[in-house]
Amino acid sequence: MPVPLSRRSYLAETSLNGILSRKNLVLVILVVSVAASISTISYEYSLYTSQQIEELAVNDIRSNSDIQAHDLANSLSNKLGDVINTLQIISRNRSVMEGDTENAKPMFNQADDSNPEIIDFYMWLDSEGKIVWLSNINQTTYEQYKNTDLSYRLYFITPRDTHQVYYSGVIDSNDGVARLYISYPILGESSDQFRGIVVAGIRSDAIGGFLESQLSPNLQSEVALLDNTGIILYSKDQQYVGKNVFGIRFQSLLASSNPESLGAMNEGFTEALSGNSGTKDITLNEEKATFVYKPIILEGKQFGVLYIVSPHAYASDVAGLIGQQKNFSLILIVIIAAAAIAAILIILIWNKRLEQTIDAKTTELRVANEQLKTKDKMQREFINIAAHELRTPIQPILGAAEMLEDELGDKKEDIRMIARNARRLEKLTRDLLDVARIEGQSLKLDKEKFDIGELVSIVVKDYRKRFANSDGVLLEFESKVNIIVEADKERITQVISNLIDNALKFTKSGRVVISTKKESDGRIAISVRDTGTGIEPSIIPHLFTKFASKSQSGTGLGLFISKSIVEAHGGKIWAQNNEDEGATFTFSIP
Amino acid sequence: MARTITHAVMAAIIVAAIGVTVIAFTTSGNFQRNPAEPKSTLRIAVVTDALFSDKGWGESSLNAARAIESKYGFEVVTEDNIPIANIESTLKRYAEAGYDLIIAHGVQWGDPALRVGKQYQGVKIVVFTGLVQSENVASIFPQQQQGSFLLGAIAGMMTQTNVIGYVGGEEYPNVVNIFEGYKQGARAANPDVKIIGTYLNDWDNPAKGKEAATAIIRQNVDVIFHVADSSGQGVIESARENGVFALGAVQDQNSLAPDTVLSSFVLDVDKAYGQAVNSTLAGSFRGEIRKPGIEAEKGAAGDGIVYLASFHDLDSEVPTSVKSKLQEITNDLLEGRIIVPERFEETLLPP
Repeated sequence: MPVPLSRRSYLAETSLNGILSRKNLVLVILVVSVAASISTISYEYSLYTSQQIEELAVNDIRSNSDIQAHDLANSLSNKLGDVINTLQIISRNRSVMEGDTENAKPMFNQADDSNPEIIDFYMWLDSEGKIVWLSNINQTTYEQYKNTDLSYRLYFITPRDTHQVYYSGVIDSNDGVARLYISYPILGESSDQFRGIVVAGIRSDAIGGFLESQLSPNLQSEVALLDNTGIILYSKDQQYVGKNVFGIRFQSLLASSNPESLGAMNEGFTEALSGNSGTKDITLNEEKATFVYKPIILEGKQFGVLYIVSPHAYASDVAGLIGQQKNFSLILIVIIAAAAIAAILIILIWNKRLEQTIDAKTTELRVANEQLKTKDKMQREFINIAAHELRTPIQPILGAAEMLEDELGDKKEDIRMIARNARRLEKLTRDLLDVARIEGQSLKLDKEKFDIGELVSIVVKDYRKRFANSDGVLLEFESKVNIIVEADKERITQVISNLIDNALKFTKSGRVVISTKKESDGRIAISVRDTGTGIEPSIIPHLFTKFASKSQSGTGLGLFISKSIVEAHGGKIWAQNNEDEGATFTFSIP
Repeated sequence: MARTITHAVMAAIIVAAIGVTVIAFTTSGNFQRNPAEPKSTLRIAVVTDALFSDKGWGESSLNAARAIESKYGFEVVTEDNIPIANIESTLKRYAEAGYDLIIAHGVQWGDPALRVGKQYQGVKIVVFTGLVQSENVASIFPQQQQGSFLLGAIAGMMTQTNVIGYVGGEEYPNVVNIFEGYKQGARAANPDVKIIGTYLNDWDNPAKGKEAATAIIRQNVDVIFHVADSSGQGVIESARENGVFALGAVQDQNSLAPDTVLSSFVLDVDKAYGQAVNSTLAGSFRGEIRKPGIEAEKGAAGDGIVYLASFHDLDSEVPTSVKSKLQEITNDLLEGRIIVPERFEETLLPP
């Protein structure tokens, strides 16, 4: 049945108020503080570690990008340097200088073969700018291009006018292919004689392929190449080839992909076009990246600019993984802390319930105990009263019976029976009173000094006198030594009588021997040894408890009273079966 | 009391165990507004990435600035050849210095103008040939395609080879729009005409312009149109050397090669700048994109700021039939019978 909310909250408050004692509160706060501290330290440390590792990874990317750009620029410079050397060699060849086409042709083809990776063709223009020869071309194609006037091309005009090497931007050639050109003047013996040019045609995609092949796959960089005016010679995205980096198309791309870094990148391009290299951190499509730019200088002239952009994504990935671990640790710690608190609360609740149960049981026991005490007291009082009340009429009966015994000789046996039973009843009432005193802890000893041997002698004599007619059992007293003790004479007499009574009850024939002796520790031991039936082993453990006796005639209280009297004297009492026959009861007192 | 403490402790436990972190984000913004109000004098800056010496686009800007000075008596600061990378910082510099009006000459200035305008609410920026607007940034986007439509018609009618060409500085949307107008005008006048064009990606390189123009002229082109600023001078030179007609842009470029430059579409930049100054002075400046179209001649009534330069000494080379057809088309444009749509993406030429 669902508990109503108000009832539930009431229960919760009640139990929380009960559980959260001051001690428990301290415990809970301690656990929570430790958990919170560990969480905070762990979180902060993870954060620190994550930032450190990301920073290290980013630094690694920066330096590797720089090395990468440097290597790429060097590789490209070497490659283009080879091309320029080839152009130089061709231009200085005598056949070329003299316009001996037939002898010069093989040289062009050979040069083409030596740099197949980026070179599309080598071309020879005469001093008028007309095509003389194209490397590795068949006769039909040659006939098509032969004498084509390219004098308007800057790659012709510039070396003609400057007598120096020229690097073109990207040109949509007559065949529609995007190429860049490196041209070298052919000069006569005296350097002012211009005899034409040799040109290397390099496809934009071929140079891109070369650069891409040199890129380290680990960096995931993008590489691009600009000419010395900022025109893109190569970019992975073909639509930007031939466009100016400062032109609207490329600027729009930059502005849309990294508006915050637009200024930094433009600054980088400007610096690079002025012959400087550098590294900048930029944001590309909301991801951080490193932008490295290097000018490419050939023959002391700037050919262009190479730049690479390396995203920091992999550094972010590393940091992201650490971040995940950090969050996981934090969650774990919070869960552990929550579990710890829950466990503490459960233990406290359980503890509280246990405490309540124990309290309840203790109360129950206390009540039961009180009830038992009352009952016991009432019982004792009853026995006490009963015994007194029983004894009161016994005395006159006994007195009258004894008087009648003397007076009525013939009816003596009947009267004796009355007297015997009255005595037995008297003993029972006496014993009951003694038990009542013992259990009511009101047994009082009236100590005096006396000779124990003498006492035993009197008791024995008394017994002999009382049992003069009984046959078969001989009562003997062995000790002749006088031993003085300080004890309650009457009670000790009672103990000895009880033990003798007990021995006589279980001995049909033979002897009952009473002996006294002084122990080495000064205690006085009195033994009653019989030749009777002995003690049943099953009775021995509770021999001295109430009503343990198997006797037909006794009250069953004698041994219990004897033990209590002996112990009240600071002594002890015990019994054992003899080796041959019968049993021996012994008590010792100080 | 005990319950209060218990609640407080429980709250503290929950807070500590869960480890709630509160992150406050604060934003701040500059909402200062300068209400428009009439002014008696203005501090004006005219800035461009072009060269004032380009005999065309850049020079038109400088001329218009000087016209404002002489007309209103204000001092107008001018600055040219500003690297693209420095456009934004240049605008900021003038805004910071408290200029009332910055006239930015060129489409490249559009986005930076928006950013700077947002930051400096007190300044007004007008982007000539721009297509941007905000509260304090306006654009004047002349319907240049109407002017180039007329040039296209001339080229289509004057070509002997039926092949005409064009050279653009860069594939800007507004440049594309100009050439699209040129193509439409040429086809309207001569459906058989073939058109060859290229872009230089360089506005200030006459040698490159000449090389590209020559490559085009070699393909049997006998009329070539350029929109390429300084590079365009190379185009005109190539036309002159190759004996073909050239068509100029923005200014009347006949003086560069009187026997070669047949006509030019001219932007009445003085009029456009004057409109910007007037609205700022009157406090009626509105952050809008104005698209003034063609006018019959320089300074003509109406909002138009695009007109055609005369044939000058080449007038005799132009047949009367061509002139009358041209007049007819001009009237149709002025009266809206011919609409030349804006096209910012290059259309494929029919085979």
